[in-house]
Amino acid sequence: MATDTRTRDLSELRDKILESLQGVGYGNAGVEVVWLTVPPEEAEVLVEVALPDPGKGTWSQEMTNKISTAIREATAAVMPWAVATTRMVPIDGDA
Amino acid sequence: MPKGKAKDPLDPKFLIKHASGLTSSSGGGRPPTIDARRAASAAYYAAYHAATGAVSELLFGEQWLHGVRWLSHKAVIDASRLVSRLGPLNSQQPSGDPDRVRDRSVWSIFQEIGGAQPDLLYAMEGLRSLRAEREIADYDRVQHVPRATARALVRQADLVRRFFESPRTADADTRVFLALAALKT
Repeated sequence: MATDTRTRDLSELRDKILESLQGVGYGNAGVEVVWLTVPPEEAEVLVEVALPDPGKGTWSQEMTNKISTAIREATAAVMPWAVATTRMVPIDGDA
Repeated sequence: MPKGKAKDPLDPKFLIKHASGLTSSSGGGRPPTIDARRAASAAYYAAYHAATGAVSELLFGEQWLHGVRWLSHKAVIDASRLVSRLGPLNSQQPSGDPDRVRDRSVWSIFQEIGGAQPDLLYAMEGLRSLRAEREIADYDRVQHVPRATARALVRQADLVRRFFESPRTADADTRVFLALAALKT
């Protein structure tokens, strides 16, 4: 039962994150959400955001902050008892 | 530092320089993902030592270095979770359940002091992103650590370092984090 609820929570959170990212101009991002820790520990989810490869550099700080804020706000709306941690990866991976 | 004495190998600035070099190296024959893993790991430790240095300085003043080893990774990450969840001014008031007493207390402190400022929230999220990637980098044989991810983390670690080495550590919101990390040790 608890596992079903947690799976449903993640699915709802993923949808909300996608909506929030679209709202700040990153609707092309791929999103995956998994649990890192569950209650009674402090609940934490890992949100993997796949974005176009930045090439030799990396994504801008402004972009990182916007994405991080959108994810924090989406998590607070769907699961106010949990925190999200972001992992940014290039869409097609790299060498 | 006396001439000839080795540099502190745990100095956050040194660790970031080391990590940054790994993300741009040609690898010397190693696959780039190996260097990306080492970079992510070093970047995490740079951020962790910067945060624990600030906690120790609050507790021990000039003798802060002696206090660093008393702080656990779990204490720092748990404190960062509390700040991220209960620090934003618009965060929802925790429920009245008996097991939420601590949450209500932390939430009300942040409400009184005007909430956690965005740079503190970015530092908290940076610490956790770095910790999550370090777990992958050091223990996960399967998952890939891309160079772009490692580069983003090195930059994030440097932001965390600069934050904890700045006068922001004297502000009320940051002191709540420092105190929570110290109390959860």
